[in-house]
Amino acid sequence: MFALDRPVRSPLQSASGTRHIGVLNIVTGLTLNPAEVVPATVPGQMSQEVAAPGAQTGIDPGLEARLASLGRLIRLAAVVFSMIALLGLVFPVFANIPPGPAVVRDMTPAVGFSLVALSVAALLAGDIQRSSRDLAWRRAGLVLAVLSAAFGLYIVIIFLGNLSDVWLSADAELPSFSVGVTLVVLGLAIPLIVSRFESRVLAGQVGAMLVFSLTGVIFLGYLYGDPSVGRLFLEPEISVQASLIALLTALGVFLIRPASGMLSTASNPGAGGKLLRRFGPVVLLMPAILLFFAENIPSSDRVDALAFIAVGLGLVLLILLAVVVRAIDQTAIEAATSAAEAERARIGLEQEAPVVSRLAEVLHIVDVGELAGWETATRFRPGAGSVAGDASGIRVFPDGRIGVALVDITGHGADPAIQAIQVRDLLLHSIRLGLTPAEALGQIHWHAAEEVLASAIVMRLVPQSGSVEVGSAGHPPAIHVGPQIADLISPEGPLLFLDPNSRYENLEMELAPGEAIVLFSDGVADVQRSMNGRTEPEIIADLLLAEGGVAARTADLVLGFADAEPSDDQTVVVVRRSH
Amino acid sequence: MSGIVIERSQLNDGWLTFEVKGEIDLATVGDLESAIDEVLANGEQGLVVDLNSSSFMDSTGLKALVMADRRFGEAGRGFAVAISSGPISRLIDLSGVRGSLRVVESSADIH
Repeated sequence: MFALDRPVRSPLQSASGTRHIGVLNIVTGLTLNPAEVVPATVPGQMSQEVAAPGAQTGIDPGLEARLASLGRLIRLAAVVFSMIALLGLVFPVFANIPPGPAVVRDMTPAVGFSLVALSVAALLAGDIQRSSRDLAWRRAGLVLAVLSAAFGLYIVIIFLGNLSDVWLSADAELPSFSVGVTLVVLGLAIPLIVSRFESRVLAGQVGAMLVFSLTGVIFLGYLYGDPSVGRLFLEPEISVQASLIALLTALGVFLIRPASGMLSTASNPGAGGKLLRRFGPVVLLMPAILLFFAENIPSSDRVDALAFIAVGLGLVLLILLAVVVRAIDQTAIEAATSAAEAERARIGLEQEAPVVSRLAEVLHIVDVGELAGWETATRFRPGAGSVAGDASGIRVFPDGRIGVALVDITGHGADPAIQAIQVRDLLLHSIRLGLTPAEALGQIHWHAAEEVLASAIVMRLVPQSGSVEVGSAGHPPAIHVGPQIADLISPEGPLLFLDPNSRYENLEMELAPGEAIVLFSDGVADVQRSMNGRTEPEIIADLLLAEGGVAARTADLVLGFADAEPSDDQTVVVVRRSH
Repeated sequence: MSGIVIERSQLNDGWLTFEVKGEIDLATVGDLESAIDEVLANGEQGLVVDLNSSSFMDSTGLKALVMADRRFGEAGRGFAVAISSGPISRLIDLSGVRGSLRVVESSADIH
């Protein structure tokens, strides 16, 4: 193997300095220590770690978990409170329900509270679906939520349609019952819908803010009573019940996804987060501020309208703020993250360049010296970058035999390259020890923890006699080519690391003078691709039969057949008996 | 380089089918792996990846299927590949994974 002349640390290296190179845990009679390939630990490199600003955008995970738990508890409290209301503890209140607008006047309390029950069921179903994997529950929860929200919106439209009456006539009465039901329905449906879509948390929270603000108005009305805001809700007892439920659920949805919504945005250290932290409270307090001034204005008949306008303006501003803040923050974060990633990549490249260069040099080796009567040729074209999962080797051993191995590890980059080199060397060393190609392949076992898969083809040649043995582990066929012959050779055997009990066929044959064995990886030719009924390996065989020659020409012909800009590595190995 | 399309459908007994259309290679295998990860994270009893509408699969796709088979097996859930004939079937034969994976001709053969 090779030695490193200076410490290196890759971008993949952990903060502790431990390098996870994913080296194969190959269990064979042969020992190969991964630490020989790359130092296991490299001290003194921590200062080059680049912090990602994006990591600061979320809130503390522990706090997030606690807030989420609190959110669930609050939502559960809302459900419990709703159930108490449904059980009739507040039922006597409905004895004096004022008549609503004509459209909803016929709607009895039973119908209204059935819808409340629907909302509660939706909320419960939603909470259950978060912990349940049952698809039916999720669908049921969503359907209930949509039904609830639709009803709530229907009432809102009616409510707003009749709002002008309030402003135009000081004696008009609005249906507090309808208002209460609406708030409950929206307050319960919105959190459920929000909880289903991670990407819409912010929008959902703004929706919850709407419910929250309306509840605030109702509370103000309850506190003030007649003659100001309370005029909107002549039966404050009902509204308070509904408000409590809606307020709790709205608060619950704020907390249930703290890391994805406005809390996360507000906790952002960037400019957008500061903006929200400084102006958000002002926006939230705006209704109360306006009410304070409105109360001191003699024309108090307009107070109700002002309260609603204030809430509406506050919400619009808040929504705009949230959108702007998010855009500002995300842009800043993305820019900073990109810069950090670029810096990391630069450092990584600088550190790894010598290693990668050295790896590329040892991926394909030919160590045959002067071998009378034989010639070899190797060609390699990487799929992307400079190192990949193909490795090949041709070696002459002390007993005079030639060992040839071509290995293709699935994947790309430094790790597969190291793994391919290891497997190739293990195979060649097994041949050197006297194992047949099939036995050598069978010696390589896998470790279950590794997600590695490889194809390989191995040959053992006796130069004096021309006898050849071939074993294959799920590799594309080799080609036996000569002036009069072009046959595909495909010994049976599964991919390496697939099954520890795999068995491999050991195919024996003779090479006559002028004949060659051609090995190639699937980046060169794939059995899946065909033309005019001939697979790519068969087409190459035809080509070599017609135009083949010495080893170098044969290798060039095969590589010339392959895609010049491959996505996968291309390796060609030719061993030819010249005379 | 074209992408892949994965059409999901539910089978009986909680099994899910992925009908994969397009070429599965280094550029597209991530989509397949992500989809498989989603199924692993959910509660389906098993998954059958139907490759009868796929035109090509390279070794990265093969690896994704083998690793998925191991993970489903470790989770005590079912995993199968549906392929009847054609280029991908040749790859499965050549690579020798037919003995390791549960290979059926179509997703209808699961039960």
